[in-house]
Amino acid sequence: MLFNSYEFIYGFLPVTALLFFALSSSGRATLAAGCLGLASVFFYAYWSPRYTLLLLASITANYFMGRGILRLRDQQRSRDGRLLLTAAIVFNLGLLAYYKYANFFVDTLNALAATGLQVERIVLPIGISFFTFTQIAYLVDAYQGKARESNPVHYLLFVSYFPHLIAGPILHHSEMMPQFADRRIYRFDVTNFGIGATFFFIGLFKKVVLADGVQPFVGPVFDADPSYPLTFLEAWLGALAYTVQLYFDFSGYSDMAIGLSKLFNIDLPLNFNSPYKSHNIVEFWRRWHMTLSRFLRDYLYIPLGGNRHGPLRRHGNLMVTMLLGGLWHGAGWNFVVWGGLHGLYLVCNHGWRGFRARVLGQDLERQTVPGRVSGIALTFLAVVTAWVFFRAPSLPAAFNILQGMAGLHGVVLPEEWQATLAPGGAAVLAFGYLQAFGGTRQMVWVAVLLAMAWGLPNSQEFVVWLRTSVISRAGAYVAQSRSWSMLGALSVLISLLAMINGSRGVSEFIYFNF
Amino acid sequence: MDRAVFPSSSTSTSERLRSVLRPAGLFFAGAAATLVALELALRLFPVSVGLYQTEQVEARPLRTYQAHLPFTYSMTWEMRDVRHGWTNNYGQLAPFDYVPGSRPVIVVGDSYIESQMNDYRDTLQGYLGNMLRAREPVYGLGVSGMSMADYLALAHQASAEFAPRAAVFLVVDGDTSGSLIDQPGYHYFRQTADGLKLTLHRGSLHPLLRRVRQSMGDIYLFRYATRNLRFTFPALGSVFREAKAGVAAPTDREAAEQYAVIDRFLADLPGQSGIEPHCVAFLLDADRYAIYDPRLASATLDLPQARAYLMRRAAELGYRVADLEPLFRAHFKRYRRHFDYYPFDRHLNSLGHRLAAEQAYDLFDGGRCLGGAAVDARSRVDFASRGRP
Repeated sequence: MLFNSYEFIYGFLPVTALLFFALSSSGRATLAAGCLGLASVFFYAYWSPRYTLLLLASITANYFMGRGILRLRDQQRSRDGRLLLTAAIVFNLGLLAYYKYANFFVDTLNALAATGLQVERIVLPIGISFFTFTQIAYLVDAYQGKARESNPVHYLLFVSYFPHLIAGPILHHSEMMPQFADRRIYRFDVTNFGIGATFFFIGLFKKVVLADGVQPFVGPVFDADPSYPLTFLEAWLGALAYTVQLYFDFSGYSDMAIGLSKLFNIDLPLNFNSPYKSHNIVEFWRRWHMTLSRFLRDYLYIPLGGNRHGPLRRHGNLMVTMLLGGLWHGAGWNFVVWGGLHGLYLVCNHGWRGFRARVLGQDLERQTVPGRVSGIALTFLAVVTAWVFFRAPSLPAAFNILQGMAGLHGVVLPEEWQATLAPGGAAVLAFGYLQAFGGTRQMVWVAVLLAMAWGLPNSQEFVVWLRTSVISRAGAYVAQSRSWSMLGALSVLISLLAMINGSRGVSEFIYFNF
Repeated sequence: MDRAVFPSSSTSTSERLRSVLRPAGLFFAGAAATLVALELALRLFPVSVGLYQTEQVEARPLRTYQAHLPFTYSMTWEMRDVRHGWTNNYGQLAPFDYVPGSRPVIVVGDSYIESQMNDYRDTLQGYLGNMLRAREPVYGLGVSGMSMADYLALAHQASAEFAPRAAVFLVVDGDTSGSLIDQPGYHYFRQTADGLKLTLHRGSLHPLLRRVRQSMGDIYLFRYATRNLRFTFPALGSVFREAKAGVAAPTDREAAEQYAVIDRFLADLPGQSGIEPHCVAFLLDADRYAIYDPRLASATLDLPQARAYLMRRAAELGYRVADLEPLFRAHFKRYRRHFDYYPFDRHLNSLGHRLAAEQAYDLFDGGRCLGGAAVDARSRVDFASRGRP
C-alpha cells in the first residue's frame, strides 16, 4: 500500500486514525498502541502476506534476543552478552544477506569464477534494509546498556510503525520508546493533526507533482540501450532530471512519513535538510538521508575507529563505511561504485579541509560568496555524477551517460531548434533528432525543480514558519479554529493530489527498492 | 485532550453539540474555500472542457455531442498538448459541416478517430481528405468509448444520412470485447436465443440529474477531475477490488463470444452501411509501446486470436485489411519516432494518423470505391514524402 494511493488515503489512514483515537479517548493507551502496531502489520501484509511472517519473525526474534542481552548485562555476564549480540547480528545480517545479496553474490561468483551456480531469483522483502538496521541498532545499544525496552507492544510498534516501515527514516529506539510510553500522545490534538497533514501534503505534492512530473524524462536516458550514444544535452538533462526526481521523491516520502506520524502525535526524526544547498560533501551527508548517515556513523564508522587513529585510518574507515553504505542501497556493482565515489569525495573533502587549515592557515568557518557558490556548484556536480551510477541499470549504461556528459558523443542540438537558432544553417552548430531529449518542457522542469531545491525553504522550515507565524501566533482558540479550517483545505488538496496520482496508475517510491 | 473532539461528560448538551459543530463548520468552510479557489484558478488554465452530449440518445452515435460548440482539450494533470476546436453540425469534431447525401468516404472509430488531441489536419480523416484533394469528401465519425457494436450502428446512420461510397474503420484494442459490455449511451451485442442482437442502452437519467450533470460540466474542477485526470468514482471503488482480484486468464467462452461479435459485425456491415466489402478498409492498430520496448508490452482487452480472426475473416469476405503493426515496427526501427503521445497517452499522434492514412489510401488504390478519383489523386500526392519520419 502506497502513501499516495486511494486505498491508503481513503481507507487505511482514516480507519487507523479513528480506531487509535477512539481507543485513546477511552484511556486504553496500550490497546491504542497495539492497534497502531497491528495496523502497521496489516499495512505491510497488504503488500505481501508471505513476507509479513518474515517481518514478525524478525521482530519476535530480535525482541527476545534483546531481552536476553539485557538480562545477561544485568547479570554482568559480559562475555555471554557479547556472544548473544554477535549471534543476533549474524542472524539479522544473514537474513539481509539471503534476501538481498544472495543473487548478487552468486551472479558475481559465476561471472568471476565461471562456477555456474544456480539460485532462484529471490524477491526482496520490501523494507528489509530498514527494519534490519533499526533492530541491529537496538541490539547494540541494549548490549551497551543504552536501551531498555521490555514492553513487547512498544517494541512491535517501534519496528513496524507504518510511517517509517518501508523506506525510513531509520528510527532510533531512544527517540521512539519514550514517546510510545508518553500518555500525552494518546489523545487527539488538532494542532498536531494540522501540522501532520501539512507535512503529508507537502510530501505528497513533492512526490505526485514534482518527482513524478519530471520522472518521464529520466527513463529515456537511463534506460537507453548503451549502444545508443547519448549526446551532451540528452545526458546532462537526463542526469539532472534524475537528480531532482530522486530528491523530491525521497524527501517527499520522508515528509509524508513525518506528517503521518505527527497525526498520531509521534515525532519522527528529520531525514532531509536541503541537501543540494550543501557547500561540501561532508555537509551533504549531514543533510541527505540524515538517519542513514547517523546510523552509518554511530554503528559502523565510529566502531571502525572513526577519526581516532590518524588521517590514514580515518580515510580508510570513510571508504569502508561508504562502500558498505552503497551496498546497503542495493545488491549491484553500481551501488558499490556510487558508495566508493562518495567515500572518495569525503576523503578528498577532509584532505582539502586539512590542507586549508594546516598548510594555508585558513579559517574554515569563514567563507566568501564566490567560495560558497563554487562549493555548492562543485558539490552538486560531484553528487550528480555519482547519481548516474545510482540510477543506471548497469555499469555500461552509466559509462554511456557519463561519456555523453563529457561531450564524448558530440554536442547535438534538437532539430526543432534549428529554425530558430540557425535558420540558414550554421556550420558550428549540429542539429539532429535526439531520442532521449524531452524537449523544452524537460528543460523547464529541470530548471524549475533545481530552483526550488536551491531557492525555497524546505518542508520543516515551511512548517515551522506556518506554526509560529500563522497558527500559534494567535490565542489557543483562534489557533484551533485555524487548524480546523486548514484541515478542511488540506483534505481537498490531498484529494486532488491523490486523483492526480491515480491518473497515472501505480507510482512507487524510489527507495522502496532499497 | 482536545475537548473539541472528545468533550467530557460533564458538559451540557448544547456545549457538546457546539464543540462538534464548530470544528465541523470550520473544516467544511476551509474545504469549501479551497474548492472555490481551485475552481477560479483552473479557469485560468486550458482544462478539457466542452463537448456536451445530446439528449436524444437515439441519435447516437452519429450525433453524440451538441452541434456548433467550442471545446478545449488537454491531457494529463499538467494540461499538455492543448487543442481548441468546434463541433460541426453533426456534433463531430471537424472544422466544417457535413453535407447530407454527399457520398463521402467515412472514417469510423472511437476516440482515436474523434481525435481530440490532434488538430483536424493531423488526423487520419484529415490526411486522407488531403490525399484525395477534396474531390471526395472525407468525414471522420468517431466518438470516445465506442466499440464494434457502435460502429455498426454508426454505419447504418451514416448510410441513411450520407450514402457513403467507402469506409475506413480504425480497429483498436477493446473494440471487440467492448461490444459485449452494456454501457449507458452505447450500443452492445446482447446475447439472445437467436444469437447476438444489436442493442442500444438508452440509459434512464432523470431530467433533474441530467441537468445537474450538464451543470457539472460547466465546473472546471469537475471537468479537470473527470477529463484531465480521468477520475471516476467506480474506479475509486475498483482500486480496493483489484487489489485482490488480479487478471483472469481468458476462457474459451470469451474467445467464442469475441469470434461471434466479429462474425456478426462482418456479416451485417454491408447491409447496414450500404457499402460493398471491397470498399471497406479495416486498419488494425498495434501495441505500439511493445514496439518501442518489448518490456512495455501489455495485456490486451481483445484476445490476440480474435484480432487474427478478424483479419482473416474480413479478408475472406472481401474486405480490405491492413495490420498496422509491421508498418509501425519498420518505421520505428528506421526513424525511432513515436506514433502516439508516449508515455502519457496511447492515442495516435500526427505521425501515427498519417501512416494510417497512407495505409488506407494504399488499400483503396486503383479501386472503384473512390469513384475513379483515386487514380487521379494519387498522381497528385507527393509520394516522395511517403514514409518519411
